[in-house]
Amino acid sequence: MTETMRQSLSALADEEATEFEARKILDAAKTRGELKGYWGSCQAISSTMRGEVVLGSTLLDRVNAELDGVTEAKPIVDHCGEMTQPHAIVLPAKDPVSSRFGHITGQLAIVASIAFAVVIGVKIVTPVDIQPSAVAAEPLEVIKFQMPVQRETVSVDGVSSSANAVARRPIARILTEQGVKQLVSNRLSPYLIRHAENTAVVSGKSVLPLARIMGRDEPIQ
Amino acid sequence: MESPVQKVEAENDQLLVDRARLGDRHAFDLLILKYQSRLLAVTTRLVSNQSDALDVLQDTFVKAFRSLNTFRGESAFYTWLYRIAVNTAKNHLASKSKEPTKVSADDIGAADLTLLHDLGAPDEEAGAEELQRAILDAIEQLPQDLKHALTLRELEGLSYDNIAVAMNCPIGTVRSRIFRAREHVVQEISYKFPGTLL
Repeated sequence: MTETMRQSLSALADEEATEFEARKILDAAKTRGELKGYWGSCQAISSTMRGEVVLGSTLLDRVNAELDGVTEAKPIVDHCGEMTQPHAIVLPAKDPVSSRFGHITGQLAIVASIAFAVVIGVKIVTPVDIQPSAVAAEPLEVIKFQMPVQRETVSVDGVSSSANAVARRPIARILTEQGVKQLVSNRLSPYLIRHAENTAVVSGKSVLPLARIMGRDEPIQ
Repeated sequence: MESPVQKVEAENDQLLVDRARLGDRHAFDLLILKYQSRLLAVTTRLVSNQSDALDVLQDTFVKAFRSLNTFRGESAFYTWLYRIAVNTAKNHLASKSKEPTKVSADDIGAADLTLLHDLGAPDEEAGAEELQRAILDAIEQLPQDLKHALTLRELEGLSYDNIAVAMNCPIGTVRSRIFRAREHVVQEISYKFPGTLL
């Protein structure tokens, strides 16, 4: 603690510090314990000179221990049993059972709210127009570029099994260049349109113009 | 009508109260340290027993902290504290009167020992009176100008302005003299009773 700070504290004890000094001291008091000690010393000197009892930090420790240990307030009751209100209105202690019930109810309400928000959010984010029937109707075509298959002929009891062997193999459809373009055009256009719609719903921006271009009958050259 | 010093005191207390309301316990600690001795004199007069007076004072500050939001600043903070202390002392006396009184000579001796302990004696040898005597001795050893300034402030309650007039010196000098006087006393006490005051 600097001498300037101690001098400000001394002035604050005499109500002669500026507001700036007072605020600075209060900010520093949060982190500097010795500042509180010096303040206590100034007050102890004053108390001694006025003939009062010096208490040190005993009472301070007791008050802080009670404030830390007990959280609920008790009402102030004066000698005739009535609530005392000088200016003070002390909040009555809460019923612990009802408080616990309210706590659990509150937690359930929060969980329900989050679940509701998640369900609604999923509905908004999930694409509305999936067209499952169209997707299911078109079987997935595998385009494979294969090496020329050498026909194997297995003779079992004099019967050629080459036909069976061919039937068991996966059927590879060799597409021409034109066919590939047609296929790409047919499948890419609905995807882009769907993507544009979903993007428009979610973010407000879309690639709809691009989708319109892609959606023309003419395949892209 | 309040004096300029009282006005500044009210403003400073309000500043501390505002901080304490926001949960700054250090600010409330400063208020406790400021008013504890003055209020102890009040509660001791009311309950006629310094040990009980300490209990009353503890309850007073706990209630005050919990009721800070109701302090509207219409009166001085000390006045507000004073009223809580008086009501708490009345409650204490009322509850005491309901208890059966069995006081023996041994109990009185034990109460005195508790009081000595409660007063936060520096160690087992030095009690509160010894500490106060040491403070007064340190003040006696002060140079005349420092002692004069401190006495005018603490005993006469003069403002720095008035002390400057009385001592015929600038107000900055008054502030410096009072500060140096306190520094000297704190150093003396820290040397004689390490870790005593706080």
